[in-house]
Amino acid sequence: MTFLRMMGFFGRVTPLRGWCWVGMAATLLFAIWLEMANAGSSSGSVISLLLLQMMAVSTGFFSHARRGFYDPVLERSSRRSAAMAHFAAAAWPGAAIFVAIGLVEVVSARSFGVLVFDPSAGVALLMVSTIPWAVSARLGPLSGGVLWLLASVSFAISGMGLPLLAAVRVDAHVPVTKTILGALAFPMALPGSPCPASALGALTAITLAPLAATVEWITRADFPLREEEGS
Amino acid sequence: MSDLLSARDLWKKYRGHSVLAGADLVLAGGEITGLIGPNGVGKTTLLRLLSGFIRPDAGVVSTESGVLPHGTGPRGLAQFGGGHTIPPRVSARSWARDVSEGAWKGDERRRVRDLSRGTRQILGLEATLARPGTSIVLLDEPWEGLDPNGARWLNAALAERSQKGAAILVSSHRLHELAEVCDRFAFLRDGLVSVRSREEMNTARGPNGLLEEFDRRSEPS
Repeated sequence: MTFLRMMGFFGRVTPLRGWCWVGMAATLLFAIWLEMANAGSSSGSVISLLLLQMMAVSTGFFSHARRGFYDPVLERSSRRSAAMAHFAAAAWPGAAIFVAIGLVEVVSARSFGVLVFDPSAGVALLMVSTIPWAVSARLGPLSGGVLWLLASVSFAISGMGLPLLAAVRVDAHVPVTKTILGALAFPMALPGSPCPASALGALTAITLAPLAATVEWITRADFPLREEEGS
Repeated sequence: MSDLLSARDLWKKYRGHSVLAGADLVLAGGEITGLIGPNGVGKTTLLRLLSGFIRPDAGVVSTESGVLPHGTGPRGLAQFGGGHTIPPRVSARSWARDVSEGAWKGDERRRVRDLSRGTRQILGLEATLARPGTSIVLLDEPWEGLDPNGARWLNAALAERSQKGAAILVSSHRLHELAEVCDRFAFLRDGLVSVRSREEMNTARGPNGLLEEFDRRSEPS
């Protein structure tokens, strides 16, 4: 089974939830409206999209595999390819809308130096695509996005929220570790931030590690049907 | 016919409970083997283990080309775990075409959740059996939910696949159907598999021979 066929299968079996599609389409329209009203002002739509992407990629590999839904792919393909195709199927709609918003910005600004194509925005998209996917692969649908959102809210209402947010958004001279912690706590604050390249590099590595670990876990995991273990 | 899939000394435990304890099973091309055993004895576990979905605690599954690494199903495998393993929200047509690699030519456009239990089962079986290049077929409770016409169709489809050289393993409680189509019977009990040929089971008496054997093996040891 080719990678694209696997992506198609996963996309049909665990499709993007209807409200995610609606939200993403609305976000794109919102970005167009913002850019038409005031060029360079579509950062709000990028934040909305990152939030939606967190939820959209939280598809829950294990819970579907244990119901036998993924059997036709798992019996015919390498587990590693299947896991990567599952991730790609979950992440591509949000990534496509992200690029579309970027193109709207480019047309409006007549320049490629726009927010979406800033490396910080790319790292933010990667973060909200891989980490929730990896978490939900084990814990179940929506778990990755919901847990991250809860963590962000908890940080925001605790005393740690403002300093961490400031480390990402305002001050380029804080220790890199604090910037990384801030970006992990508030990934939506990352696009357009003055993060140093070292922090972005570290965040990329931190982001790719759970993706790689989860692909490896799927490669080795057992997929009994739920009733087999009496659960 | 040659052995297409062999399981040797398979062991599997769930939460300390042994499901398989040294099970052996060989599937030869051109033969239909019925897997028989009481509920909860490990038939589905054995099927999923042969499909590469589960790792044995010990033992190996091999094909003509060698031992299968964990997580890899045998080449030419087509397995179907029952209508409940078809995702309910997907369109029947797109699922069946995916599973059969485009070979399924039906035109059922409803979502799977809108199909009756029997129709869902037929859809899964048709798509699984239509897949080209299949040499090993593993089916879990395939007659579940089928009416007599559906059962007759399945029996004929299995016989046709077998005549074309496929090795087929069918797990079921439907002893009448098993007695009609199977060449061999694999009884799973206490984690072990014992195989009897059709002649040994005297299936000329219909499923009665199977029923007696099933009753004998279902008694507490």
